[in-house]
Amino acid sequence: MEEKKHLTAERSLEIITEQIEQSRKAVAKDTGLSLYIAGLCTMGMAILIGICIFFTVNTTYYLLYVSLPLVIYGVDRYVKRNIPKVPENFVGTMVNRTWLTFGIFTVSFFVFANLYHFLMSHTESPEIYSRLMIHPFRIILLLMGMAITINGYTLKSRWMVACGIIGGIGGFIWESFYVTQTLVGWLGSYTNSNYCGITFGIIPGIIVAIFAFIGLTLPGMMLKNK
Amino acid sequence: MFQPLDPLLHSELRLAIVSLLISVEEAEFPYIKEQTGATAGNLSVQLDKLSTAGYIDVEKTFKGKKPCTLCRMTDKGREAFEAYVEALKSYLVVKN
Repeated sequence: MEEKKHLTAERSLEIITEQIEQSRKAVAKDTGLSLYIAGLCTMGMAILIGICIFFTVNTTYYLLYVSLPLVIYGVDRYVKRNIPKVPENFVGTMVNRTWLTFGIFTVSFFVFANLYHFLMSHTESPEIYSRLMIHPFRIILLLMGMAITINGYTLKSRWMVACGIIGGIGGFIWESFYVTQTLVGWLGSYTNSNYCGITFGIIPGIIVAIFAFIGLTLPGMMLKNK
Repeated sequence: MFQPLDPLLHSELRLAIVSLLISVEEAEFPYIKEQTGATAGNLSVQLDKLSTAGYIDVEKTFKGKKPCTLCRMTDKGREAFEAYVEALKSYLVVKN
């Protein structure tokens, strides 16, 4: 930008508008890239965990989700290593903090639910255990739907709000009425291990991947390319 | 009646810097350089002028082993920018 002696009022106004708009776009693009990375990492993790559970029928692999925030942080830092750090504005801060809050609540709840299952399965009879079981997946879907809806309002994206509400409440109802298990049970012709692999591995993985795509990757892509 | 325009802000690059910093908490030197399209030398000079006037805070720090210059608006800078925009309005109203 050159220094000019005679700066008109119109040109001054133009510079102010241009810079504010440019800054807004740069922040939106950076937030978009972060969301995009988070979405791809979540989708990758969901697919990886799904595959592991399908082949081993061992649900301990779910614990890999705990490492997701660290994976996202690492990939984000790596991708942005050569890009000048973009400052945060109000919208960027709101979007990041919504996902951060969601992450803290989800990971804490997930860890608590797993600890609870571990203790209950070792201290209570199978009958009591089955009645007192916590189903974390439906609550996580509800929280994820809330996070997507709030971000939809922040980013002024109606379809994101709709996806968040439908996905969050729909996912909660889907899981509460054991639709996945019922559907897989109807298929009937699978062996016992395949049944478990599909029920506890592939289908939740697909649902998480779809949610991550709608709630993170897609809005990220939109913001990034704006 | 025309209101006087702050000569410190009435310059393309300094106005661009202040407009950029007004909407964010703080910004690093490479980001401001990229957004304004200024050369490093020219940008340093203009940042010094704004800093001397107390319009911005310039903090020299380190990011790992690399030096990092952080710039942020001060309250005085915000007030000056608001006054500049108000003064600008008087020119535009008269012209319209």
